[in-house]
Amino acid sequence: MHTFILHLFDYCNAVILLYFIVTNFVYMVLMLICLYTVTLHSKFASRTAVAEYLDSPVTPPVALLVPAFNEQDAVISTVVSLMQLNYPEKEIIVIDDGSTDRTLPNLIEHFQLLPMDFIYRPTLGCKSPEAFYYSHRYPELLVISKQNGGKSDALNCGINMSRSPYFCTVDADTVIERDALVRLMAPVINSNVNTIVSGGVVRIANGCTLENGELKNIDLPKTWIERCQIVEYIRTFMFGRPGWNSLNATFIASGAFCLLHRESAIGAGGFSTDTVTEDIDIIASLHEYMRKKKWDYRMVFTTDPVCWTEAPDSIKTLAPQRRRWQMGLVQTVMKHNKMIMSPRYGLLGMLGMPFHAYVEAIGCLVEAMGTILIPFSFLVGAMPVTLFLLIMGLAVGYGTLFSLGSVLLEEATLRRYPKARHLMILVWYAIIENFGYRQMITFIRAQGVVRYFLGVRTWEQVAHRGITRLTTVKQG
Amino acid sequence: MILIEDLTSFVVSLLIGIIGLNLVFFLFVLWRRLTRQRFFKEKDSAKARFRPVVENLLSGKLTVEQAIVVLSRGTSEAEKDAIWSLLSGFYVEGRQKCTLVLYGLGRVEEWSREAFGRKRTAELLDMIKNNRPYTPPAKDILGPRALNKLKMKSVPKALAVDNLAQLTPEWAFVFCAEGLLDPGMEVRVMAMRGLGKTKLRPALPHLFREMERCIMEKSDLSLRGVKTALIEFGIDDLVSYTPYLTHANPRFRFFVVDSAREICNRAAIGGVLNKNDFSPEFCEAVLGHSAVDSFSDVRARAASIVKHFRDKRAVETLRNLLADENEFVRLHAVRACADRYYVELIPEVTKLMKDPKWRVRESAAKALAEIGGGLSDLYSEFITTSDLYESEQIAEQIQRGGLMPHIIAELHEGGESRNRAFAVCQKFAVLGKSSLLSMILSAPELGDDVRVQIIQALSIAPSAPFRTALQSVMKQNPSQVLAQAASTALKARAAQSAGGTA
Repeated sequence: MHTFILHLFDYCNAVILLYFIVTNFVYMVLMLICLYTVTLHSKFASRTAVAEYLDSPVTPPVALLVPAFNEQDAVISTVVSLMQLNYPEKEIIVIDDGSTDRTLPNLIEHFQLLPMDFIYRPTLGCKSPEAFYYSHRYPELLVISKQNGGKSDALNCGINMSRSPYFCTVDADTVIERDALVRLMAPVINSNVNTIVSGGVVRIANGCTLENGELKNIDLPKTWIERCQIVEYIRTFMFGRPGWNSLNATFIASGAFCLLHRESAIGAGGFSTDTVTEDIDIIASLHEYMRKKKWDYRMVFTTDPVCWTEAPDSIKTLAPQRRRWQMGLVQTVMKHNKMIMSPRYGLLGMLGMPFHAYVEAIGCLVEAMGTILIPFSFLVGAMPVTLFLLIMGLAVGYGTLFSLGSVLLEEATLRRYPKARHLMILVWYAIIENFGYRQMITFIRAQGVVRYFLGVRTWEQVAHRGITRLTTVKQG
Repeated sequence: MILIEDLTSFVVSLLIGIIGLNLVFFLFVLWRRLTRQRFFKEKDSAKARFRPVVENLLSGKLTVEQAIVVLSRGTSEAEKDAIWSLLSGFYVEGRQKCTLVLYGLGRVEEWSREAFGRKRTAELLDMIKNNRPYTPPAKDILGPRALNKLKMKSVPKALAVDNLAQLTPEWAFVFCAEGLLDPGMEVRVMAMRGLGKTKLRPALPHLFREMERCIMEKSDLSLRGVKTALIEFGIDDLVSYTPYLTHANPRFRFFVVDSAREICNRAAIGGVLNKNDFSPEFCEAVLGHSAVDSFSDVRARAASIVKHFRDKRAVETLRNLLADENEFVRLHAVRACADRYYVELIPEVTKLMKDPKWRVRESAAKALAEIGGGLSDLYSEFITTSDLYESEQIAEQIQRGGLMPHIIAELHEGGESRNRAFAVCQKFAVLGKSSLLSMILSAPELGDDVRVQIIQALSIAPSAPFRTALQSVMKQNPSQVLAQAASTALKARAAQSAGGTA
């Protein structure tokens, strides 16, 4: 029996080791690619002719779609920030998805909107709008009121009402930097093929100062959980996504701030309601649609357009969010599993999809198992203390390396955190997030995977505190 | 099987390596922050030091030679950067002088060497100094193309070309034309942008050649990018576009016409244009070729140019385009007619209110509203038409276009316009689009007479918002007339509901 258990441990350890090697090897490659491409892109982007694009009739119009469900605290500052965006031609469509709070009345009062009966052309299926609100004072703003149908449903409704060739999805708790939209559009303007998706960087606004819908003073939040998330976001957006983008294997673009080509999105069936992460799902659907049609296309992720969003400030709010993300990722890879190892999808099919499916989606189960099994092996005497310490050291060392690497990229490119103190705190959290935070996130993600396999398909509701409460708000 | 414990020595060395790398990253982050701080401090101080020199140069108190002597004292990277930002900041006023100073400081040569190499730089500077026309290199002197395509090589070159593109147009043209031959995409992007900025006519053939490459061959540049460069030119340069309007490739013709359209629209912001603002050759090419082109997209875009000509022939051309078989041509033609000058085309525009394509109907409604005199035609069409699509389109235009206050104002007036406004309100009720009117009805600041009329108009097909508005009116302590009208409407509505239930 004892021998059997030891053998079992050996096998499990081998699986964990293999996972560890593959994951860290891929991340290492992505980091090296990003250190090269992101730095050079940043230099080139610093000469982006933002002023020219703003003045140019060639810059395509964009519809900013803001689905809002019970966002009474955040929606006004978000819309104000969108109105202040530097962009030549934009329409802002807020879709009130049957809010039960004062989201709609607040919008009507603040922007002096009037009810109007507009023509609605339902290209994509969704719950029909109940009312439209519009004001000649703010001709670029349209508010749609509809029955609750979920975020995907609201976005589809927004697409149906939008007129522009491109639309940008924006979360109702998000503040976009003034030039971010035009920077997001720059790869579309400069592309020789149809660029159907352009994604930008999402940052955490907690702790910052918001003034008239604009981020005035960037600071770090006080709690460790928010600070760990900042490091995590920097890692994701500085070398996770740009890395895959460099390999032409973009699979995830954050719905908080993502530009999409309207006709292609409609062709791909719009946002699907059968997954809880509609932003990941539409990217996969677009890949399938464009490959099926054999049309040339491109999806880009660039690091110079930045938006700021609210992040959970407690484990109670963080856990449901992460479980949902993980469950959505598993749903999406299962739904689009024919893309896995399919040469038709190029590097995305042969490398990106398998990695997202086996490492990002269900790999957290192996990670969780390793988090339990390795200390357990050591405690029952199946692993010598030196080896245990070495493995732990290696795990922490790699974790720190990727986080520090991304902080380095941040410092070399965006430099959004102005004070030296910020930088030191980020470096510190790049190290200490490996002691507790990462393990906690692994277990939460594993829970999400388990929930998927248990057949749970519902979206756990998270009470938003609202960006206005997590930041300091000043009104001029 | 290889077990973890067999790999101890490997793991140890890996761990040491990773810790070492972590340390390097950490030190790099620190070093970067410290050096940047120092760099910007030094740059700010250099800017303050050299600003008077540049100001004196531009005001003529210093000669170019004297400025070169003083500014050449700035030798560090921060100082050089400061000088460059000062010279490029003042640039519009003294582009020529700034270029000569930068040349004297050796910056032009430095950038050119970075972008094109030592030998070619000598040739290019020779062309500039001797005022000789630009000639491309006899053979590829840039080395292996694949190597030059690498971002590592092309980004620094692109930044150098971007700097060179900010020199005086004649100098910039030479460097940008050369940059356009580079295999690196980034270099070519900057060169193309720079060529557009020069606004020199000799740059046009280079840009049109690039457009040809994008359309007919393989190019890593975007058509939008080429177009952006092309529309930097002014209306006077359109004569140089003329030969390209009859190009064999229809897509090429389309992009040429489209670029010309953007130039015209931009010029029209500064004042109304007419035929005399264009060269006769260009007008003839647009009217004689583009407006009757076999490719519908060319005809569509030509309509937007024709509208600026404002003469009899333009009216006739637009009339033909309004009746075109292609929906996009009709769409652009009807948009082109949204101008008071084209009042005589109102019947044709009104006819397009019944177009099978909604975008055309929408633009026709907008055009009628914008023509001014077309507003009464718009209302009349709204009242009389039995076409639901058309009615909905006009209803949308009245709401979106902010025409409702105009209708309310007409309700105040007597006679024909009042009757028409009343009928418009009735039509809104019939279409079930009475939300806005109901909202207006609730406003106490509106006169009783108008409110009574709105009540009477909307009573024809009462809706839920209308009933809410009536209830709100009753709560406002209304005058006897208004109260009676509201109560009658409410009773009628109740009777109607009861009848419906029975």
